[in-house]
Amino acid sequence: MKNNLLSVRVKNAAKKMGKNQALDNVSLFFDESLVHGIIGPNGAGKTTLIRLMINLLKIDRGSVKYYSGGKELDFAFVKEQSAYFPQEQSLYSDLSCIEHLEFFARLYNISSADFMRRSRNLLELTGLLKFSDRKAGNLSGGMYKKLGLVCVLLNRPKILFLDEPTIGVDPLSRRELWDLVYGLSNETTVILSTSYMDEAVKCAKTHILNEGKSIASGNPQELLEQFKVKNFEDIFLKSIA
Amino acid sequence: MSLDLSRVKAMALKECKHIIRDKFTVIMGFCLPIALILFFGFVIELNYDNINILIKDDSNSGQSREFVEKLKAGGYFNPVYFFGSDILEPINKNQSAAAAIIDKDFGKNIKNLKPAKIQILLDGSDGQKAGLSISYISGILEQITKDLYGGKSAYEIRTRFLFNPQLNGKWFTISGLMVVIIGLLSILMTALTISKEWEKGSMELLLSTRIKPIEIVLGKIAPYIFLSFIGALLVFITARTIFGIPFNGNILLFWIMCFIYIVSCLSLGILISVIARQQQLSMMISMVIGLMPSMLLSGFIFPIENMPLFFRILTFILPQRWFMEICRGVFLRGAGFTDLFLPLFMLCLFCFLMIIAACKKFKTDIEI
Repeated sequence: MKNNLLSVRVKNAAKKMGKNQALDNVSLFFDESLVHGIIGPNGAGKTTLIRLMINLLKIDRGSVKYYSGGKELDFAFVKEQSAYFPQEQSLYSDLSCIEHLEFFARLYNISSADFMRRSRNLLELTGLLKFSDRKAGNLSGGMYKKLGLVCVLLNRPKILFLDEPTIGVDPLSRRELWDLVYGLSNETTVILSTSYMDEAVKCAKTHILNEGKSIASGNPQELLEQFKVKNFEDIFLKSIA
Repeated sequence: MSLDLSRVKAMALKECKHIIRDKFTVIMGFCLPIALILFFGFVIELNYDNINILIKDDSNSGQSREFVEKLKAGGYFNPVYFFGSDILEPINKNQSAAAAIIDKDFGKNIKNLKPAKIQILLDGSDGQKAGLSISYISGILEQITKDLYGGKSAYEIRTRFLFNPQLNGKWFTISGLMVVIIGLLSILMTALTISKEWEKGSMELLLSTRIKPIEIVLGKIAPYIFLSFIGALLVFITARTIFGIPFNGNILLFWIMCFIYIVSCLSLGILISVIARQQQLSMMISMVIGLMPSMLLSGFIFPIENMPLFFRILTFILPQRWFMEICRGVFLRGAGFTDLFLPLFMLCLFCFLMIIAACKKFKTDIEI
């Protein structure tokens, strides 16, 4: 199973957005079958990094390479195996939950029998089953994010990118979303970004970004020990100082 | 460029749901075409009638009064007797477009079979009206000459107008209006679809999936073909029933050509949407591209043959120009496939190029 999963290496990535250097010489490695957290305050370059990794933005300098079982992969192949849910509202407010799933199932060429089984499982898992007919525009913040996650998970991605999935979500829904993410980590490499520092410790591997630069990367506990601090906010304060 | 029809279908079905739930699109697709053809059909009149003409009758004879009666009977003029000193004053004030000064010897000269004089003054600032007025007056004068002098002209021209015997201006304008309305609506409808996806943020999610630009473009166009077709049908029925426009051609051929025209305009709308990425900007560009060439360069009002060379060449890239030829040809002349091969070929070429251009211009990233 693990051999089919994907890992990503970002090497010396640089990207300018307008006059702002959004990413500056960032090198990170996201190994397979883990929950990776890209942590940083607003404007740190988290979204830009994710967009570069999925080719939604063009890299100015450096490279993004995907690997499976040590072998480099073509991005066209990776695109088939990956899924991404953006931070901004990106679902159709006038379509219901089930209509969203039907749409994505057709995009992913999922057979109707597989769709029935998988959509039901995912809706049950996220607690959205009883809201199947509710339009996306009428869902709460947490349910909206869950619906987005369900849509992109229909394809059973080998690598999943989530841009700030817990932003604007109540604490209970945040916990449910994290449970969902943990549940995926055996079959999918999950790369998510967050500006909530307390979420850093929930990841298997944390990558800290600030002002477009990579500050540190590794196991959250080891990072805290390395910086000799008790929480991740202090790492930022220390790095600014 | 491989094409997955199931993804095209996914896109088309999603778009259908948006259309059905969006009252604005439904109104635009079904009600606006009828409203536009009724409004413009009644408002646009290329013929002139009831032109105000001042009559200064210095002759005050039976013959001069008969001339005025003939003017009135034609329906083109509304003669008003003028008794003041300066007949140019009402023309200067735009109260009248023409004036006729009947010579004091008009009646006497006619009786004696001598040349009788009438001076006609026309407001040349409206050249088209002036030109038509003088042609109407010449026709009436020729008739009067025959009647009053009891003589015959040296020659007689018998004119027969083909395809539109009564020279009914409405037949000409309504068949042209169909082109304008169908084209404008088709461009407008798709011009908003892709820019809406950009503005709502759904394009980012869509682009991260495996869907290709050609699949998005075709999926977006497909439902609007049906909607535009219904709109075209409603315009056709209104033109035939309310305005009584004859249809002399092959109905199947007409609808096939109409289908290609609709797809061409929808593709143009998609191209605008792909480039603009903003609904407001797309709307503005579509209004300019959809309306201006239709009205000015398609041959709807101004003959293409009389345009400067540059504009004549420019009309070649306008689908409205080619469908105008098809529409008028099929409706009034009963033109067939061989007569309309060139316009049909040009429409197909335009349609193909627009789809290719929309796909090429379709950005698969979110770079600004």
